[in-house]
Amino acid sequence: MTDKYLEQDELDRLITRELSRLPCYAPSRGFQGRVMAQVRLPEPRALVVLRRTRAWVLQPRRALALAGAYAACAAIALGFAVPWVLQNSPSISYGTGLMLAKVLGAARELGMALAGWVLTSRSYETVRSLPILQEHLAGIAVLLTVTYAAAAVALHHLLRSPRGKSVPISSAR
Amino acid sequence: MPTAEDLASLSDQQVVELARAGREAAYRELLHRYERPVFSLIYRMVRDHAAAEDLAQETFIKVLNALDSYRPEYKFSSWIFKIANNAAIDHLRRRDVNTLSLDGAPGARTADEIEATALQVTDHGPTALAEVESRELGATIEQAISKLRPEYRACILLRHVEGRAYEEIAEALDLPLGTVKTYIHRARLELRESLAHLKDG
Repeated sequence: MTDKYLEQDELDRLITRELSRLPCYAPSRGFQGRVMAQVRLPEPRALVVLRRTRAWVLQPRRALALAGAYAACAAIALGFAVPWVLQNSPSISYGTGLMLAKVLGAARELGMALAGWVLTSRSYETVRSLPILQEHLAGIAVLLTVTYAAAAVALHHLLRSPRGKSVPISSAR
Repeated sequence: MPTAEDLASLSDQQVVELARAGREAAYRELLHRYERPVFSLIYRMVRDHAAAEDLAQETFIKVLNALDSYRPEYKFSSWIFKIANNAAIDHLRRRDVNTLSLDGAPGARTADEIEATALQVTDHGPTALAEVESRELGATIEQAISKLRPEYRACILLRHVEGRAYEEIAEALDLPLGTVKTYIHRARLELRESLAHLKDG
């Protein structure tokens, strides 16, 4: 009887061991790619919100309602702002003057610093000492203008979408 | 932004969170972690490589497209095994494949079909003799597993091949814990009967 149990116990252990040793099968090559091709990746939340908002806003009736709401808000704000400005005009003009004086003072200090740098660094003399004749200056100006125009044309071609084709506005939506 | 190596060190729940945020690498990491266990489970259930691959693909597509509905209080592995097991059981019901042979699916008639549906048992033995013995033993075990009822088969495979806890199996197969224990006990009894000849050898 004991031998029978021992044999069963041994067989149990053998089965458990062999089960844990069974190989792990793998799908064929390209399995991941085939799965990924059919998985819809979620877009970043901010982009989804932006697109939904844009689509919502672009409905003609909603756009009209939004424009109306904006106009109403602006009128109400003006209704509050105008009397407030009139009531506080002395304080506002004093504050504005003070701010303007500060900005002007800062600009003046910057100008002085720039002038001081030009005088002390002798850059003016350096530019003057360059062997550039009057007729060369005209040539340089023409060259710069042509370069600028070429860059503008190149930029225009580069930003066309899709490149090389003009897309009607209705199909681009 | 975590790299593939960082992703490997994250838990399933964390990887799922990243996938939900739209990280493609996180999707690939989940696929990498589960493609073999899921495919192995389905393959051992249906015993048809092409069908197993289709079902595994179907399982992953279903799971990865429904990550938003995944509830983190459950284990991700339980969820994916549940879907894989359901896919396999549905397939077996559709095709009425209950008893399968190690030499090929019952529907296989031509030599090519038999070869295509036969189990490819690999070895683990260190020496040539051990290799042969291990292959034979593995094949015998596979054959014995294939004769079990699908419910027993799923339980025993998840418990002893995938090393899952009883609770996780119960969760994955939507069964009470006691039923899982009973199924595994009965599966072991049936395996013992099928493999009784081994103790003589």
